[in-house]
Amino acid sequence: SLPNMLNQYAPPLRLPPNSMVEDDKVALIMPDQVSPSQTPSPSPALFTLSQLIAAIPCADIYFRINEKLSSLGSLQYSKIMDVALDKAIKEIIGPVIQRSVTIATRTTKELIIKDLAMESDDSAVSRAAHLMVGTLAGSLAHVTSKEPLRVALSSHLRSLIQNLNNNSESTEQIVHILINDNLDLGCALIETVATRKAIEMIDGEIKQPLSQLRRQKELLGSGYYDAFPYTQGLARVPDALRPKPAGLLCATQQRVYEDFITVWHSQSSQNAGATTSATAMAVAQGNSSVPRLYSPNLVQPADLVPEEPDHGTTQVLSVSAQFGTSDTFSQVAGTTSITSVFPSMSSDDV
Amino acid sequence: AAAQEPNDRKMASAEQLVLDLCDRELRENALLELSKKREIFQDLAPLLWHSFGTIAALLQEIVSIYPALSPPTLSPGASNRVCNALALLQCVASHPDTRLPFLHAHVPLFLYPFLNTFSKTRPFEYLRLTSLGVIGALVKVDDTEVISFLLQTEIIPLCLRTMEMGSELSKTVATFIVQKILLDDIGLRYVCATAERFYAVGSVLGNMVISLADQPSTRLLKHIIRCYLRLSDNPRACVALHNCLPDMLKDGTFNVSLRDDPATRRWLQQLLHNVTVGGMGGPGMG
Repeated sequence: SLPNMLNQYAPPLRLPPNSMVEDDKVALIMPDQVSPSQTPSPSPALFTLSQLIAAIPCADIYFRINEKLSSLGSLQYSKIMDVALDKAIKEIIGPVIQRSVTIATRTTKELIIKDLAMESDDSAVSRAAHLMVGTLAGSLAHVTSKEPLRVALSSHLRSLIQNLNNNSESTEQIVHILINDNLDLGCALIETVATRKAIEMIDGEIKQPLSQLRRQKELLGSGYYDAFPYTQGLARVPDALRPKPAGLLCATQQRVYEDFITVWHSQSSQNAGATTSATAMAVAQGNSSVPRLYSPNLVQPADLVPEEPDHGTTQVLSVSAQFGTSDTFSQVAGTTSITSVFPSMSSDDV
Repeated sequence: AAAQEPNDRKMASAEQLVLDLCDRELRENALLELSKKREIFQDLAPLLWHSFGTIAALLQEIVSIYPALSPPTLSPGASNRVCNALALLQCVASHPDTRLPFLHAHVPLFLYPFLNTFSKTRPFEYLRLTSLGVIGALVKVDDTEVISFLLQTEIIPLCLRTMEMGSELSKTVATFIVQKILLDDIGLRYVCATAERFYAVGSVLGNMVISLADQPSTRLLKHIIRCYLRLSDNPRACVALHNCLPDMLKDGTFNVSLRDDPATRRWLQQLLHNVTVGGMGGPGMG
């Protein structure tokens, strides 16, 4: 009967509140589907707001203030941007970081265990994990924070500027220009926080399952390949493609995890005064003395600076000139009603 | 170590191409060749999943185009390239031995930003369609674990968006995904748990029915009818459908389109029967 069938499905969704599954449920909601005014999530957050704020890069931030904005003077506009961005980031950063760090951590953990179970050098495992999780969390946070940050930023800018300026038509124009020029900077700040938090977490996540796997390998010898989901499928994989200790991989395989440094160039991190990706910085700071077994011909910390430090800025400028953002505004407004009625599953749904 | 590297470029076997995916110089070609031949290579999915670094390389392809999503600057070439990577992930999502590891590693979530795009240009339309193809491969086999994952990660609003604004083909895939979710008891309960959720799905289905009158598509109509029929299994939804089922489904508008599809005709008859009988009494949607 129907009730019995439903009972079969119930257990996996009713785990105790501290289990990973419960955390995931809340953490995996797309952040633009959570309005800041909604009730706070029932599950324990990975980070407190003050921890996240503390992880925002504190180097001087330079806003781009268009020359057309002359009515209040660029210093005044910079102050307005500063206040609005600070408020907007505080509103949205919690769910964005929670979600992107949770996903990136899980993905990195599963893939690192799959690929690096044979590697006995812990520092090499840790470096590969840091590069991967930093880039995945940062890029995911950047892309998912964009629309929520745009919405939050425009409402704060609007009210700040309206207080100084009664002409509502030009207020909208000013808000539009300020957001176009500075939204990516805000996303880059959030990206950096996600990268740092994910890197902080990942070692703790992989340590235990990895050592368990290694212990089994010693115990089982050649039977190891048949013993686990991680390794069973390997029987069908030719030797050249199998995971091995770094010294036995071919050169291109050794490079794959290093490539996470350069694959994601947030176009705007240059804006934030950073000259390289958040991941490269965070890993370089944390691990500068780690031997780089996965990159014999790479990488000294100085090399982590990308070759063309200037292209990002000009690119962002020309891109925003070509594509107005007005479309996106109306689209966001039009879809909010649908997305807000599909929250993550709660226990009522089961 | 380097001596083990196969040098024979003529041996463009599946193994060599998978190895090439790790090399950024060779990756674009390897993506193209592998996705073209993915049907003829035996057991490509386990090879992709278990080989060293391959999934990491495919994830690099995915996140590297995030900057082109907003503002929308994705070029046709970049779209093709990432869609070839997605085709390989679809292969992993389809294979019984790799589907669950793929899900447990949360890889599908890196595709969600693609479904959150709005540009109607071909590169974006192709990107959404291919991303939905990966999700579609996951739901093709009935598995409650897959359905729970998709519900928890908010796939339904993303599908509804595509059902509203996508091409006929991506509308069909998105509707298929919603249909498979509804066919699972958890999915039906989730969608019918509140009036807002039910009406969000109902109104998107209704709008698609109306647009089908101008641009008929039998395969899309079939999935829409199956969604409605499944919704009518829920008593409260059935009462609500009594009032909000589009007239075009009742008045024979689609008789011609369904002439050669007896299975869908029967579903439609059953739907109309359910709504007439079950819709008479009981509490409806708020």
